[in-house]
Amino acid sequence: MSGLKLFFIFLKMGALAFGGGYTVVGLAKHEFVERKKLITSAEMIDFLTISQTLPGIMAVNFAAFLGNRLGGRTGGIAAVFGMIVPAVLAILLLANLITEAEHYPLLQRALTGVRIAVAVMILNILIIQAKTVLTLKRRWLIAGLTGMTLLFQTPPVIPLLTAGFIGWLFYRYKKDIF
Amino acid sequence: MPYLILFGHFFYIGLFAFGGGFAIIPFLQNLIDSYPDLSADDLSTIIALAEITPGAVGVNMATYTGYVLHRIWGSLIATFGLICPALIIVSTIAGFWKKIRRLAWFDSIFNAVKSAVIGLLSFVFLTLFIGIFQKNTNPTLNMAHMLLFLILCFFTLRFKLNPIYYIIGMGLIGTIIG
Repeated sequence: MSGLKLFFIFLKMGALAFGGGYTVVGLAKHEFVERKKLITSAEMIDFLTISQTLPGIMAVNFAAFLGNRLGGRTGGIAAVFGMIVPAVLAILLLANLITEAEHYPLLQRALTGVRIAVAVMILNILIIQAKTVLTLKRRWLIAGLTGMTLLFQTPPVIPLLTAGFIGWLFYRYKKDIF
Repeated sequence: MPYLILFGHFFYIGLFAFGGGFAIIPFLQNLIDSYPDLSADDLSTIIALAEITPGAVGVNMATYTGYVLHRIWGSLIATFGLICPALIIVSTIAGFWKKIRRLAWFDSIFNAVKSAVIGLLSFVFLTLFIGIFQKNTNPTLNMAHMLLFLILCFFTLRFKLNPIYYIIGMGLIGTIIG
């Protein structure tokens, strides 16, 4: 896919990504996995996982990976810039208009609706992940333990890297894939 | 020179802020200490603005902080600084991603990390879900939100809906029912 095309697809997704970075993941899943069938859902989970594990903003990493996969190095850069242009424009437009969103009750109500939608969307992503990844008991264990450590305000990078280390140990000593 | 420092600050954040957008808040708190032009009030405005504008929360925050400090150029430089590490790191990894993904030891590590990301995303989901109901004390409204959540779950699981429609739709419904 050409860089220009990727730029515009991500521009559209960036403009509609209300509710933060995971919305980009949900929109991309619909666009590239379900509609265009250019990547598989297993690949999408790969990109989500690596984007979450690498330093930096998850959605930026995700756009860069997806862009790279579909359009090479140029594609990666085009996807990232496409995604952030609407975000930057929106902030610049609103920066002088709105100082405290709490003073706009209608906006707050709309946000509650958006939050419900984003929660449902994340649940949909989770179901696909669970179907593809959680096929073994040991993987359920890691998922559960990660969720638990986060309840104690642990920075996410700690359980992610620990899980990676466990996966390595498992391969090294059990001679099997985790 | 101040632009270069600003770029450096956000490059650093892009390199060390792991995970979702809100991970950059502690870094912004550090910025308040080093820039007298930024106040704690600005921080709450940043968070509110990031929530109502589309796009990754971290990107929104960088854009607005840059804008407060050095207007348009500041916003562009801060945003670019933030995404620079991701562009460099992902372009590098994407080059050998397919090769490394096929290796058995990497597959083992990655399966464990994938499981951990499911735990992480479940935590994100729960935080968002609980937040919707914690915000108001009106039980009828909470019931309505729960009902909307369940209806939307049913529809999204049954049909492959484009998230764009239901995110915007729920925003509109939110303004009506509150």
